[in-house]
Amino acid sequence: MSQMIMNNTLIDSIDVFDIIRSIKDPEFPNTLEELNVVNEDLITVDNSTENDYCTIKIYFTPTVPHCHLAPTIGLCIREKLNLLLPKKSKIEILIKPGTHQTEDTINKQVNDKERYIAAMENKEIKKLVLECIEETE
Amino acid sequence: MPLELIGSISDGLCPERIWHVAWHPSGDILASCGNDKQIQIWAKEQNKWVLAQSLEGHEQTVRRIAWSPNGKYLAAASFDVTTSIWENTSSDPQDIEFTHVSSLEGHNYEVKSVAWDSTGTLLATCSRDKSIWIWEMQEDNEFECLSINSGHSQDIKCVAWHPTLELLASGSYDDTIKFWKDIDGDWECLYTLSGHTSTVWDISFNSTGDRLVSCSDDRSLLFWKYFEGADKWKNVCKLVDHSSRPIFSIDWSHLNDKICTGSGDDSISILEQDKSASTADSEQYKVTIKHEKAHNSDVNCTRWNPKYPNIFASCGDDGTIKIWKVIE
Repeated sequence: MSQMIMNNTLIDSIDVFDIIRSIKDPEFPNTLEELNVVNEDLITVDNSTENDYCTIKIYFTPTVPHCHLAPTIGLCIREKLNLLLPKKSKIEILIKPGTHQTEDTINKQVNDKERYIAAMENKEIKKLVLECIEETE
Repeated sequence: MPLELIGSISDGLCPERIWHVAWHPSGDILASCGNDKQIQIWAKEQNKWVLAQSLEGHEQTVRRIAWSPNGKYLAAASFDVTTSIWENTSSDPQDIEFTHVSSLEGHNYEVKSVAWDSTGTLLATCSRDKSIWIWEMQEDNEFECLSINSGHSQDIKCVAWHPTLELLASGSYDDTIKFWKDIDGDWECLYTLSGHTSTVWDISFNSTGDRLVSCSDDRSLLFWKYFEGADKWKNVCKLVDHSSRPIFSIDWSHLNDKICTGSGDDSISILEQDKSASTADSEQYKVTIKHEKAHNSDVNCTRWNPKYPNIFASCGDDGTIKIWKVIE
């Protein structure tokens, strides 16, 4: 796809939701949609014309307020979007306010791009993430 | 005052994500590193930048690189928890022929940054393991660890030596900047600067070393000045909302005092002090150039050429290196 077509592609919250809804929870045999971890209404996409990129903000709701796998869910969402989004995007992934005991800590970790890259270079974490985001028919 | 693009490297030899660029002290050679685990050394041939050598050996991303002050050595900090040292073994200093001479091991997690002191004998490395290691270079290319400094409560993102003194500054995911010095044989934390509300991504001293500038995930730039009488570093200028995204890079030119920044909003800015509006306690810095869409993705690093004024290099997540000139 040429750069010009890519940059003219408009992405909306439905496109983003369609990519992340089928991600498997790292702990349970369900998808993030089934567990209500992700929800289309908690996704906003800004396709502002002054930039070449769109800005995506996703709030997710951990299954329990002490969920220790919340950072892994954040990794899965980011990795799958980076692999499948047709357009260059700036992605912000945040815990839905009030739904996790260490909300700020997780938000900071999940949005640190250096931590994200380093985590994906860790073989075990990468294996877990790829298993969760694998598409199965 | 615009920016002119005077060079560009993006010919398939670059990795997808370029984290860092570093100028050789001669100003004619540039090194870069990224997610292909290699270090690229670029030399200018008839107005074109060509790949002179690729250094392989790291098992993961190479995050930052640093030239020794004499340009003979290159140090590289990697996510594979090691720091590699390379020596130019060519008999002709104009030639490039780097050989791996040492691998520094000790950090428990990713090494994020590396820096040589002004004499070229001390090397500092920092890591997600929250420690800073000070290494001394011995005559046989061996490195001895002089000190392991703990004090930051989180991941340490960057280290920078004072331009003339044996004083080290570090910036961290714990939102602070700390200064470290050898006091009677023990490295101690002398000062802790608080002011940023998120990760400090990069720091840079001015040429005389009495000021430091920092950039952060909080989208702001803070300017710090050393007050000798009080023996304190104080914040003398705060530029909030400098960017709409995290600011990953900042560099203070030692040739003409200009400052360049690179941001997650794909832009590059040039700043200068407004001396007429500055007082002893409060200084003004203004953005003289804001160049949007400088790269096609996050700008990870901006570095001034150490020899030719107004020239700097940048690199980013678009896999390109660009050379810019500030037109005055």
